[in-house]
Amino acid sequence: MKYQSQKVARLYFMAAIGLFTGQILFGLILGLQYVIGDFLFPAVPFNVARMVHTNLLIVWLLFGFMGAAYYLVPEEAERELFSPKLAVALFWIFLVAGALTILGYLLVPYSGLARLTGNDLLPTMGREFLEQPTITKLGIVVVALGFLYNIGMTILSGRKTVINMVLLTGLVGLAVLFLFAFYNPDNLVKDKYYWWWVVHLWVEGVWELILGSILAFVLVKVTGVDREVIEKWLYVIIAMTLITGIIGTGHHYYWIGTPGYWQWLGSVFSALEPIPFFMMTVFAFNMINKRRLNHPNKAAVLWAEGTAVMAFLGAGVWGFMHTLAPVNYYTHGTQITAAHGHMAFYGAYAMIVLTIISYAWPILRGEKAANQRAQVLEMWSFWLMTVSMVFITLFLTGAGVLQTWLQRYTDDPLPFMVVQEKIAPFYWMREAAGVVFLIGLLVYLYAFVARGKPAEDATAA
Amino acid sequence: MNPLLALGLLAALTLLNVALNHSGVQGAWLIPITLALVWAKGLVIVEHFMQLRVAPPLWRGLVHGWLLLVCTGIAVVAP
Amino acid sequence: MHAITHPLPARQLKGDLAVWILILSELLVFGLFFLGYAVAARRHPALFEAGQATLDTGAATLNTLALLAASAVVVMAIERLERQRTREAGRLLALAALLGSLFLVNKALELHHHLALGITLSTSLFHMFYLGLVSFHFMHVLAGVIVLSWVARRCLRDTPPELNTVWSAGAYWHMVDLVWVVLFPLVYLL
Ligand code: HEM
Ligand code: HEM
Ligand SMILES: [Fe+2]
Repeated sequence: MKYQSQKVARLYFMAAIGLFTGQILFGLILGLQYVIGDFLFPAVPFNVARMVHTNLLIVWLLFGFMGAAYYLVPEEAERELFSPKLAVALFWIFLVAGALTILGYLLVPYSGLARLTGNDLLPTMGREFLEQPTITKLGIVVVALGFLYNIGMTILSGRKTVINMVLLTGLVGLAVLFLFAFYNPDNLVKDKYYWWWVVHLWVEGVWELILGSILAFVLVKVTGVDREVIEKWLYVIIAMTLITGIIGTGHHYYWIGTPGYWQWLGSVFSALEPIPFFMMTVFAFNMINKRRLNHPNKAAVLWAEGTAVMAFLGAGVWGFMHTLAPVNYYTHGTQITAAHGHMAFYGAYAMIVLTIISYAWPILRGEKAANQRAQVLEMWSFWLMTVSMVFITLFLTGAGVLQTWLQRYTDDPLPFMVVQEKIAPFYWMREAAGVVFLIGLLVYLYAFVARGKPAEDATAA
Repeated sequence: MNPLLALGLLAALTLLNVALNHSGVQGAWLIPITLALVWAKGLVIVEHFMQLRVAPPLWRGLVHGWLLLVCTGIAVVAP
Repeated sequence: MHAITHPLPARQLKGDLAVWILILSELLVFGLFFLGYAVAARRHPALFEAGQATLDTGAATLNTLALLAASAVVVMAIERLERQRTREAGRLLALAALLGSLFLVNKALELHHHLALGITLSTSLFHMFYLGLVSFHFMHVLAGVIVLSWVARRCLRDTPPELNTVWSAGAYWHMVDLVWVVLFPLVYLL
């Protein structure tokens, strides 16, 4: 660790992992509710569990991104963080607001929560991923502004590297696009239209910049390849991301009442969205092959490679599968979508956060890499979680193909619930794979314990 | 090829193409001929401007493949 | 670790690998767009013919020549640069950027003409493709002109970027040209 203030990243990483664990527990509850309809009813209805599962996901990824920024921005800018105190304060604000929101979901009926938090003053609740009460959303904006101010000041008064600038652009984009969460038109078409500006333009736009810059940072550190080479790749990747991803939003505009030309624009541009993900794969492996040093943190290298591969599979391959309008006509909103959503979110964003944690955590403790045993455990957890996510995806894809066929494609389609009964075996297998995922996560957590006491005093760096 | 010579060739092909399409002639061969001219122009650009004639075969093949695919694709699909 | 020495390759990709991957990706984007256009035109022949009749082929022909000329001038500039005649190269690159700007002005007038008539993406499938393709290509020319101007400026100040960078810039510009060579007959002529 070069700069003392990088240490605030630890708080953020801890919160991220804690919330990740919560997300997985709720995922397992959901998976069970899929096959045992009244499991935990009425205490935790499906819609509530789903909200908790997805919101925890978004929030832990945000914690992860912020932690990553607090870690890598000072190191790249070659100066201390502008204000570590602000970073700590914002951490607690965000954590408390997040916890209260989740408790609100679990303890109060959703409509009651809306009333309680004055949703009618500025209605923003009720949309997938953006279910948070308006005050929570305002809190997110405050945290985001403070955060951007903090790292912006650090970057602008320090060494300006391409990695830092791309990261900052991505984070500013994330915050700006979130503002569309406050725009909630009555017209259902417009409502959906702008909702995708948050959801799609996040994961297939600005978040990719964040992903690219964190990956580039870790690769610079673990391969020792010239910065110029890595920066060039980063430029090309973000160019392609924006060229394909912005108009690619059209793949969500096929059937919601928007003009028909979106079927063309959306199909053409989103069909090419896999390209930047593919470039990231080529980039990562190319850099690792050209490495000039053998970094002792083998686990971090594995996570970086895993991210590059799984992001391409989940976003690129599974995204492409249903992105052309004639295909999406049949698959829209089926389990194919869920299969893709899971592998893409895990492969791209969960894994990049786990990558930077894997790289940074030992350094924050004052050692270059964890001890052999802890690394082996961490690599086991990598394989357990990643392989079980592959299986979750495959089972959901199986379910989705059958569902599409029986319910939509055949000459005499079956009703929704009849089809759900038929594909229940797939849901059971998904749940089993989910249990393996949880085991992988527990191994991951145990790997932290197995690190033992820090090798040297972290403050001595 | 001298770049100015290449430019002359490209310009001539362009004007030929425009003239052909404005001469009022119709016929099944108009589209194939137009695309053949496009392909010829593409060849000059790819080989002499982009310098792919000195590039490794893979890259050369990829760009030429693109050009051929687009030209034949349009020729086949166009009415 | 031992140093790896590469023998100088006989065949060489002029420009950066990453930029070439970008070029290939862009070609794919445009290629798919072109084939989409062809499919749509086949399905609605009358609509596309009527739409095409409203386009100004003369201006577009002029634009084609401007782009081709710019490309040739870039090749000449790079030849100069390879022989260390930096300032000459700079002047030629400035000329190429100027030719590119000519294209931009001309195209902006054409687009303005159509937009002033109240034409939007929703007017018809033809107009969606026409506006979509042309403005998407426009952005690429714009990016190309910016890059060329930057390289020109560096050369004129006698601090040229690395040759590999200039090759990459040139290859990108030729790609923009190559794409237009297909786009022009497809949208304006056929
Ligand atoms: C890391 C990047 C990505 C993530 C995290 C992601 C995640 C998601 C999620 C969660 C959904 C479901 C949204 C909903 O609730 O309706 C979705 C839908 C979709 N995604 Fe992605 N995605 C990514 C990249 C891509 C890419 C690159 C493509 C195309 C090549 C793609 C194509 C689609 C399509 C077509 C849908 C709509 C499915 C439907 O009609 O039901 N995605 N994505
Ligand atoms: C470990 C076991 C997991 C199980 C059993 C599970 C289960 C589920 C279920 C049942 C849903 C609701 C689908 C529906 O509405 O029909 C869901 C949604 C979702 N989960 Fe998971 N999940 C798990 C892990 C994860 C992980 C690790 C991630 C990402 C890192 C994730 C991301 C998502 C997303 C993005 C959605 C919304 C998908 C959409 O809108 O299509 N889940 N999950
Ligand atoms: Fe999307």
